[in-house]
Amino acid sequence: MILDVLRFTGGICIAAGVFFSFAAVVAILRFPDVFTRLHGSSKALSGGAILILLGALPYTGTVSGAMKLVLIAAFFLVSNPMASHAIARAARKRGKEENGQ
Amino acid sequence: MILAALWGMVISGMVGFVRVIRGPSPADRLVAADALSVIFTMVLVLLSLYIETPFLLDVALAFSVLSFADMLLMAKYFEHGELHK
Amino acid sequence: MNVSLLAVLYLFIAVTALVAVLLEDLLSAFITLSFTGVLMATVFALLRAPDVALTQAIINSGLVTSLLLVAYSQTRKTPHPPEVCDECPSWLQVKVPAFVCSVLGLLLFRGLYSLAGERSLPEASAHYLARTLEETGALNVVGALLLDYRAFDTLGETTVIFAAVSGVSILLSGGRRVQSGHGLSYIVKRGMALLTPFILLYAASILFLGHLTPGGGFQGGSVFATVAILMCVVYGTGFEASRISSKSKEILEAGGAILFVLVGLLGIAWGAGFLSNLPAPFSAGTPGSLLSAGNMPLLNIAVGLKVGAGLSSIFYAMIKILELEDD
Repeated sequence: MILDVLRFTGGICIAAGVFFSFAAVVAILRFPDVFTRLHGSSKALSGGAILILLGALPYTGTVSGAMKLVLIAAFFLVSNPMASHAIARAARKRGKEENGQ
Repeated sequence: MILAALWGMVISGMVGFVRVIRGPSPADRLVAADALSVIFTMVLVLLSLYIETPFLLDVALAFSVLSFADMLLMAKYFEHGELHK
Repeated sequence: MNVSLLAVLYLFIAVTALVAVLLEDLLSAFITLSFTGVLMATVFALLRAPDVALTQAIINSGLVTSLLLVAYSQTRKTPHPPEVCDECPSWLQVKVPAFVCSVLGLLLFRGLYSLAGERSLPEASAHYLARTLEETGALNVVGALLLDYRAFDTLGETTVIFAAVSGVSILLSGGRRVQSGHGLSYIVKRGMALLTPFILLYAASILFLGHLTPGGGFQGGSVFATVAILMCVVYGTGFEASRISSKSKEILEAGGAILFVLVGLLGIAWGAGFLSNLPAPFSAGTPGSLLSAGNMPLLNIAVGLKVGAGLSSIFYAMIKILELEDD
């Protein structure tokens, strides 16, 4: 009974996560500039991925599976902003070079 | 339920691939590739729940670590033109 | 439901590969190619093959990208000649490859229905799936196949890696390495300093638990090599070169090969045969614990040492030659 309630909550979290991922993809398609695309997609995807990972917790049967999910979420929270920062810095430096310093 | 989420993520991936085709500069394609690698990590997690193979979570963890390394490598190459600077 | 998802992913792979071929800027083509590898790993995961998916994810994202980028940055960027080369007729350049690829693609597409559904296993696979635990003591059937039933082929694979590393080192010897400290920005440097111990611990866990979970020596060694490559990329060549010298990498690589052969010779010394596992004096242990499955942990360590040291030596050899051309 408590498992059903948890799974229902997990399902809502997964649905919200899928919605945020789709919003991030829409941001990639529709925004005008590379920096705005990076901003929109990185923020929305970080939230969406964390929501999906937290929502998947009631669906795993074992403790080790749940700990792996928490590990993925923690690593993702640290690493995705770093990757976006590296891409943004590279894009800005190349943009300055192409426009003539 | 999980299957609907799976299809939603795969369709988001396909829509996001349009930016890889269209993006005028490699920076746009890098942004799209970064987002797509995150989306497909989540596809792997949802797959491990759907087909009830718990070992796929190991694959998802390895993939998140290595796609982060991949993004750093390509950002470095895009910024400097070589990997060893 | 499985079949339609698989079919959609197959078509997606075909479209991605076509886009990667048609893009003109090579960096964009590399980005698309690495995404094709992501999709292939997902397809392998959907077909219930976690070992293959893990290997595909690790090799494609870490090593293929870095080696391709290093090789590409060594080429001279002369502009593309405007007209098609006229020695080779246009139908041979475009139409025949397109036809061959479409025929192959259609044949492989037919195979997806037999892969996705229930099917009866051939006799050898059924034997391995049923008897692996009692004959080797390992839980991971793929690892047991690689390191116990077919351990001699794994020895051949390590020889192949040794040959590749030797070839690259001989071809690209004689360069020097300039100590440069640029790397990436300060945020990435501090972030990598936080994350690197965990990534190394994770690589060691893939390696040591190869007989229990998907993974093993090759995958763990590749993650070690990727960390070594990332050290150079994030911190600049001045950092990593002073920590792990190429001499110690050679020693690690040779040590891995020697350990593999020594473990095999131990089997002969006991009278059981080269690289034999349970008939020789290796205990099976309790299934599921770290020290189980006979000599498989030792062989995993040997393969991991060799692969990790070898692949990062290739990368550092290819960087070294760049400096010679810059003068």
